[in-house]
Amino acid sequence: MTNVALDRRIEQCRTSGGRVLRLSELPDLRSLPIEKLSKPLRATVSRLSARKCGLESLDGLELFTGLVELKVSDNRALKILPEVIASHQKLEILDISSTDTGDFSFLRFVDLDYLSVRGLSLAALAADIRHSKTIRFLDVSGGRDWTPDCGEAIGTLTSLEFIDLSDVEGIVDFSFLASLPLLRVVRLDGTQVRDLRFAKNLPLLQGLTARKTLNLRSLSGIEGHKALQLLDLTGSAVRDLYPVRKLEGLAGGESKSPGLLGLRLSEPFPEPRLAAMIKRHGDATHDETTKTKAIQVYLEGGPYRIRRTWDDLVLSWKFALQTDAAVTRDASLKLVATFTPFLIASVMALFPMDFLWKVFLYVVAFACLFAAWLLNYRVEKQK
Amino acid sequence: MPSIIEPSDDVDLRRYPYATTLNNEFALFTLANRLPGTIDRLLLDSSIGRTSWSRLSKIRESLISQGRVPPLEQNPFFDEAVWKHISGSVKSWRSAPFINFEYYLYYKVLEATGSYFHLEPTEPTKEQWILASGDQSSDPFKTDKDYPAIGGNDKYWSAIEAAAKLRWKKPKKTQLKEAVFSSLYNNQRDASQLRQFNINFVHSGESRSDDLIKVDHSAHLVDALLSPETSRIDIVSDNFYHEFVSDLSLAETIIRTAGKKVNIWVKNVPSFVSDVTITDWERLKKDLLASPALSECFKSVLDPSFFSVRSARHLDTHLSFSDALYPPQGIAPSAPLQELFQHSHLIIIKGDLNYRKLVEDRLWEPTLAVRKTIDARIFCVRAVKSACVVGVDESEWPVTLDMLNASLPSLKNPRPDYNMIIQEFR
Repeated sequence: MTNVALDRRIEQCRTSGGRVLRLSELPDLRSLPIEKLSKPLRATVSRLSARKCGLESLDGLELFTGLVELKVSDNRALKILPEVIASHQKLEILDISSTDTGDFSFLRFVDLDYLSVRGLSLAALAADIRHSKTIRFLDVSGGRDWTPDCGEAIGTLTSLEFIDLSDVEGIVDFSFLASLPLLRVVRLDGTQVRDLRFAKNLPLLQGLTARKTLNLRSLSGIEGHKALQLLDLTGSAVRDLYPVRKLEGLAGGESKSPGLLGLRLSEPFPEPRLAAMIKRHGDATHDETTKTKAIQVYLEGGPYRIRRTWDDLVLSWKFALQTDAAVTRDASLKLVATFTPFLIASVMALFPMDFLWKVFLYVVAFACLFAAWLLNYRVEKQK
Repeated sequence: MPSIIEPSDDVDLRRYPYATTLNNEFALFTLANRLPGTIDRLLLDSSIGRTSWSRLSKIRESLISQGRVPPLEQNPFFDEAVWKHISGSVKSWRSAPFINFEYYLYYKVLEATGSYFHLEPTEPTKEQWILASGDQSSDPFKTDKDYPAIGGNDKYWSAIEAAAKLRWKKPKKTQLKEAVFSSLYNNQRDASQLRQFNINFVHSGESRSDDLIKVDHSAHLVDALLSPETSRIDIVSDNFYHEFVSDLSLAETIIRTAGKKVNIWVKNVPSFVSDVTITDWERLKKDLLASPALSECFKSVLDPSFFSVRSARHLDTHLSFSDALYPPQGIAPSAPLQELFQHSHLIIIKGDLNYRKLVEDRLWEPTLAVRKTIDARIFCVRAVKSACVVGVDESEWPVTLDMLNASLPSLKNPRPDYNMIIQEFR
């Protein structure tokens, strides 16, 4: 049966142009079927996938001289020696997830575009990954033995567009993500992420998932991300949706899944399309009785608020104090500017004074209100 | 060899060059906005993005740069000569004919996402290719084709059932006219735009878009459908979901009221986001058969003696319908390709892309007089989404190419209301 299936795959490779050989999911392959492949075919194959097929060795891989892509994930017994990979200078795409690989020194010799090392020990990664300056896709999800050095090394990969850190234990500091300006998708499911401050420095961000993140309470940091189309917070501790209220791009993802907050929130409430969309998701409802003040959105068991409560404001203020000096300064000035007119009004009510003094204080009060409005605009823009 | 549709008088075709991004604003908008957006959606898909990021990202980069086109690497099933013609047709996104680069982009996407490896020939007609086991998981655009579950509580199918039963009570001509308009309206609302519009199925008889219908030969179409000279009707379908359901409804109405044979043509491979494939039909047919109520509504299209859905490989290529009947130099004639329309008495061409494949995607002056060169009557039912219109009467729609261009999506106005036409080529 295996031979018939294998022969069929090889024939398919040959008839489709000889570039792509797909051996994935053929049972008990153990080794590459070099003897069944003609020499000319071995020379033309540039993409080879042999996932989940019981591979134990890559003997003969050197005969594929034009290899651009190699995907051999989910072969638990496969130990990949660095020299086997390093000899393929044209290699751009490499997936060695869920194999028995712990040495990444090949990264010093090949310029990869895509690297997936899902489920592997990351202890040795930090020393070698910093050489991959061209890499755009990195999947280290489920990785073990994370060290701060790994974050520091990944933070130097300025070409990265996609990173998956899901289920990596031990990441405390996510600030290294802020130094990756080309990131378009960030996956943080099942991590200890506490906030999304890093997102402020990611102008191209289109997708962010943070499922099952029990420590994530605030979305501050993603305001103003017009490109954001996908935000999945299922199972997080976030309840305050205020920061995403103007992100119209999220509407693009609305049909993907109930857990995905593809919400269009830019309209004044009540927002009929939002209500209709929530109803469409089936397992979500919204509270009609409070629609003029706030809409409570329930998605996958959790209530979300679009209008801020006092707790949210306190949390937001604390966050601002922790994060950004400029925002904090402006927010503080805004507070002063807002309350000064009230103070002036009180003084004018309590103490009789000359007409000129009154005019002067009126001017000061209006100036303060104008300053407060300007500062509010700046704070929102900075966010 | 003559084209199916050609100018009535001798005209120098060099006056009407093929649309490219250099001479056509809609083509440029498509290249700069719509196609990168399509790839973005795939990149954000948790499964496709993860496995194909690098390949898709490179295609996107080449689109944005609007320069060199990465060469195709795999030939899914085409004859060698046809494949050479296809793979050599696009060198640069900028200078290639619009229709060619659109097809080419989708070939690249299907190649990048590994879909070609899931194609299997179906017996006994080797012409039909299907995604293995009817499994949609390898269709990168599957999310745009998810219709509500049949038999569930969704109101979608109940409404279609109710509308069908209501229609049965009306006179034949009214039934046919309503079915034609439903088919037209649902072309305007194809599933690939689900993210831009709140799209619902449009049942027959709704006339809220009447002011957008610029050419209306529906009366001729209804007469032709009922004519005793018409015994076989071919429909070239466009989008799946709403539109295909309305096409099935049209076919069902034709068979039930006029007793004609109807054949719907679809694609093999899932290109152009929401285009109908043979796999889509197989899946829908299975679901319809499982529902007694819907089986009754679509009874005649589930009966193989009057109805069939077939695929043809040339629908998977940029070749025009004229090329298919009269293969261009270097491509060996292929019997199944020539069979398309060969026995037809009436052809209904659905959608913008198929219109361009019928008349060739040139910068036509819309009112340029044209004639058909085959006996079958030809009707086009479409929303005008690109600037390719020809052969309309000035008294019906006095439109110029400039006016047409101004009505199409652009960077300034990406979501215009589409004009619609039901046009007969005489």
